[in-house]
Amino acid sequence: MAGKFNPRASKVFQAMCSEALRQLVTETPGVEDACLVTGDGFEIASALNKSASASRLAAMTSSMHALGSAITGELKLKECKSVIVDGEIGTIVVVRVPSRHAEMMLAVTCGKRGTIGGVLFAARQHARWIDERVTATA
Amino acid sequence: MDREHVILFAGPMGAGKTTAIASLSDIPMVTTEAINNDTDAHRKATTTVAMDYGQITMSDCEVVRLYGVPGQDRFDFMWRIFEARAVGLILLLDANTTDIAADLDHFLDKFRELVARGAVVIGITQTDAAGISGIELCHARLRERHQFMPVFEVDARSRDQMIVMLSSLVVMVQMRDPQLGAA
Repeated sequence: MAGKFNPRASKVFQAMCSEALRQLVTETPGVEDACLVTGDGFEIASALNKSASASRLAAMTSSMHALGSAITGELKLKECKSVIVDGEIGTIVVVRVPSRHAEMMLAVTCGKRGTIGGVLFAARQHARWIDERVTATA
Repeated sequence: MDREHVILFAGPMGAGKTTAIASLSDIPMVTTEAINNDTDAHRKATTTVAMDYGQITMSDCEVVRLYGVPGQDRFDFMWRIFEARAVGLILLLDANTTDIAADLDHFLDKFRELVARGAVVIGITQTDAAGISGIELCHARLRERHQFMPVFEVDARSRDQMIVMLSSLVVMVQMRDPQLGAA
């Protein structure tokens, strides 16, 4: 389990992440929403076009990743890197931020215009960027 | 004929739901713990963010599946998922809380559908530190609500105490099952 940096305690970190998520949403084809959350289900930063509640999305994202971790652990597949939920008119991708300092997940939604591969690649890129910012801040 | 019952553990954060299932389960538990960032709400280091799962065999033909849900309201979508599957509810309350009657009200209201159709027992934990009778407070509140359900003082770490409470619930479930009828 990751260590002692509290991402919600740093306004500077939250502001950096908000800007990064805004770029993710505006610059990645098909991406509609993005939300960075803590492992225990609190919003750190978000860029939401939908009318979804950021706080509920944050809680659901953490639960989904936790269930993914439970099943990968059960099947001895090591860490859960991502969870993909395939809806009829869109997809939600949840990726773990690979940080030693804090438990965080990034949820990204895309509509039919996006490809799962493209969105997953962009989400992982941003997750790594977030990890680098945490390491610099922690 | 083998019988399986689904029992839900609910209650406020820190009441001992995960500990209780760990005490009871015959199999390695499934847990979904994350670091607790909300230390204002509770000082515990970790918190359940999706579900706990365990299982106990009560007799040769009776298996109980134990599901624990997070205590915080922001995870209420998990409550709805597991409430629909359960036939009984173990509501754990922390004797150290500032208002145990308010917690009782909150969770009986939030799980009103299961309370109406299923069996319910209440377990009051951490009574060793509290020095007050949570049982009396809960009974008083239940009288005001015109509801009757058994209330136990339990140590969630004690398998024996948890089995007594769970066995009571299972008997209540059996009595409500038209196929099984009264024992």
